[in-house]
Amino acid sequence: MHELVQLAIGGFLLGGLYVLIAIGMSIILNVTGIFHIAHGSTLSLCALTFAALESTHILLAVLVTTGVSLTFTMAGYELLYRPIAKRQPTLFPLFLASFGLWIVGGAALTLIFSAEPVHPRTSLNSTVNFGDLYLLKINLLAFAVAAACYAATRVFLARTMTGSLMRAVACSRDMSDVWGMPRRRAERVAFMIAGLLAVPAGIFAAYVLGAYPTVGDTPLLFAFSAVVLGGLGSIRGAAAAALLFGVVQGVAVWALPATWQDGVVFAVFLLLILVSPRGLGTLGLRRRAEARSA
Amino acid sequence: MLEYLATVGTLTGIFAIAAAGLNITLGYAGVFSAAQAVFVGIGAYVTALLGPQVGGSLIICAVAAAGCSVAVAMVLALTSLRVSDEYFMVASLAFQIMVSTVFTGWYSVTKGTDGISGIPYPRLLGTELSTPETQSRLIWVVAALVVALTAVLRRGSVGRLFLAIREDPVATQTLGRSPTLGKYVAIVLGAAVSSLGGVLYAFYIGFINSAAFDYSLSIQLTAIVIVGGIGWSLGPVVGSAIVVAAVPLISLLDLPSTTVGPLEQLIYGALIIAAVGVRGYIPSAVVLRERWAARAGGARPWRRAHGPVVKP
Repeated sequence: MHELVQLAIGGFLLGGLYVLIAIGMSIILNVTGIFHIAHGSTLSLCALTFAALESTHILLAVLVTTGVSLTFTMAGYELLYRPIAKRQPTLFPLFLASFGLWIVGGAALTLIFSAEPVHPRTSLNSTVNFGDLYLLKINLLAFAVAAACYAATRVFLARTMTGSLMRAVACSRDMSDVWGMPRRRAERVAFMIAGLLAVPAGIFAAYVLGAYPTVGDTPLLFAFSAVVLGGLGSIRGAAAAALLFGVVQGVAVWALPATWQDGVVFAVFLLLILVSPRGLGTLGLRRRAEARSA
Repeated sequence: MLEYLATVGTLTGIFAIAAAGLNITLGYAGVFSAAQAVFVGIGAYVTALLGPQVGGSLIICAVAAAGCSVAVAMVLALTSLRVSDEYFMVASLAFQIMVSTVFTGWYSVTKGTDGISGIPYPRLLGTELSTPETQSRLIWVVAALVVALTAVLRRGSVGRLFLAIREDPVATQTLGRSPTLGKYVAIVLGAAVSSLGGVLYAFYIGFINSAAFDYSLSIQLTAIVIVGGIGWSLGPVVGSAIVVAAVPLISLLDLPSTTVGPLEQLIYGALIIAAVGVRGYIPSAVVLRERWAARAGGARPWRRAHGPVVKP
């Protein structure tokens, strides 16, 4: 039992990393309608850039990583999605383009960096004890940063003018066009937020998982599923689903060999999708509606 | 060298068959399935496990493989069709990874990454096809048949239903046809065709392991279908010739062996983006025909009345 709790908490903390990716993708999907799969490459790119520069100066590494991440994300939007969206207004071509960018990104990173994982050293790679539980300091820090980023994103969307513009565009793209809202700005900011959120995710991925060109793929797939499971338009749902996947991934090791880990997570995802195809967010809504009508 | 080319040519045929299945699902019905490698894998595993028991009978293996993959495709369709459009891709990718995990983890049956060897030569109508040439011929005959059948399927009522679903599911529903049922059929049919590619793959290579059927194969099949031209019956063959045959030719350049794999991936990705980008500039065949007819001044009255508005 003690082991199980230990594993569950470990998974929960790792889930913070998935949350950062998932809310970035969720915001992009809601505001622009693009399923930005290439976000996995952004995560790998951040992890690799940070690991390469970490030995020089940590602040410099963070700054360069931020720059690189924003450049990649914004270039994807301005140079790939917008030209395609101009000619082909349906979403499927954009989706395919993102898929292509993901493959190109992963391959390019493999060509530039070595395929061997690089683990940056840190003094935080030690445990701290809470009663019987041993927790890695770096994981605790990663989770705290993820929680802070989540809160900051929520506040930004709820309190600022740009945030309310983005929520309006997410509500109805056509209507915001009718009212003459600067939709491009909302889209640009959405990509920018996702790019910024990928920076802490990439840095902690480098420490926790090691930096290698495909490190972003599994978090991407988890985040991807979390966005669907969380329900359209629900950042909170996406974050909750991402944490759930972290816990399931951690607990899976308890009963099964490590090779089954990913399989178990996706089996849980498919089962939950069966129960509630429009995401877990709607489950509560439906209950409330039923209660009201009763 | 000649042997190498023959092998590449045969693999092109195998991938064309596997991609033809995805072309039904993705190209005709517009269902983005990222789980096609599952069905290729099932075809290959059924052949590897059942082949030695039945003396390598191609027909029995093909029927069993198609049966198994249809059953698995039904599970996929039942769970994943509950979510719509792009979300289906996520669900099918989850399914792909789940089944890949089973392929790797269920060691007692699949032998995981160690793989199964000793698959017998295929036997068709009492003759054993023991040379690569005869097998290669068989594969291209099957590929031609599959392409012909998918072309017929596309022209028939089922194919028209698929295309209608792809273009406008709501309109299809108002006409009394169920888009969900159509997608269901497209997934199951696509799975059956792709499993045939897996059967031929296992017979031709003679060795399979779980690494061959992970999601990178799904990505490769998707690249083949998109590069070859989505929804075109000959597309899988063209795409396969580009992706499977032409792109690996870069290994003939004097490159270090570690860069060849990523460089190939890079080219697949770039080809997908290019195919999507270029599509926006090329009007579809239907529009071209309309435009041509209008320019010739021979636009028939019914065409004027019902076709899309074309200014001469």
